[in-house]
Amino acid sequence: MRKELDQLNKIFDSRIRIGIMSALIVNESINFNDLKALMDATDGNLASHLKTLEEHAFIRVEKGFVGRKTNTTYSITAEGETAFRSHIQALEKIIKNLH
Amino acid sequence: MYLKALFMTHHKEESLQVLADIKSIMDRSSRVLSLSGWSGIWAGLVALLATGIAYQKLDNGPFIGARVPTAFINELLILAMLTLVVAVAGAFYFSYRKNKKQGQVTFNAAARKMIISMCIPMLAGGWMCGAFLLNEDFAYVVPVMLITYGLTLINSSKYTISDIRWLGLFEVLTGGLAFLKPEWQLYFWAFGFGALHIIYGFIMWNKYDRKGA
Repeated sequence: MRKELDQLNKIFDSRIRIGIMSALIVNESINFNDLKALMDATDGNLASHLKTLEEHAFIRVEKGFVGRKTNTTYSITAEGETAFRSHIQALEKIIKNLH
Repeated sequence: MYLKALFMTHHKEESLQVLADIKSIMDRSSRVLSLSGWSGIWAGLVALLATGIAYQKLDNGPFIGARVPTAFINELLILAMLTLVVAVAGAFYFSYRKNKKQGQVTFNAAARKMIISMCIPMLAGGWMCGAFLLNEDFAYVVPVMLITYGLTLINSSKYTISDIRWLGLFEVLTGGLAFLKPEWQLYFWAFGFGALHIIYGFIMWNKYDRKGA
């Protein structure tokens, strides 16, 4: 049991960070506003979680424009995908270990 | 020992909850889950009404073979366009209403992808039908409409409730059969766009909407 708990990634301890990763793993890329609507988070809160994930190289940020408005899109990196998948596996192990 | 068990149960429940959240976000971010069953029922009713009008206007019964008077084609075309606009508008309205009730956004990334994935095959099908009409070749307009519509639904099923694939398959099948009996086009049209939509809408309403209401 200890072993499984240790395999959980501390970075994915937050509901919003888990949400961001879940959305990015099934979509090529998502922009800030769509993520915000999906997660029901405030701008500042979401931005700080995105920053953390970016610092760990789990997500890639691309700044672009739609007309004159900035349009920032996010996508998952290979490292991010690997880390998130093993986190999910660890969660599954915890469930399976108990009947 | 008891404490340890309690500790582990707590982790198990938490893990289950997190996994459920992950699945929910994956679904919500990649699929439009809020197409209302009423959208299908509405589209079907509009199609049946349009068929009724067309039926009354055709002198020689429901048979649109190669015998349609050219002057009448324009009227049929306008009727078909109006039907499409009214059916799509209604479908949007009912889904918008459902989304509002559930507090979800109607036009997210998934909805945009779905609309694009629908527009491309529909425009190609429309182009084909337009070419048939320009050549005054009326025999295969309805089968082509049904088949392209069916393929459109199958194509967009990855962006919404996957049940819509079944509706698509039945539309393709109806279109395939319509090729064999071009003189019954109006009947096939009424069945494909009317009856199938109503049946599908009712099944979806029963499966998803009723519980949520």
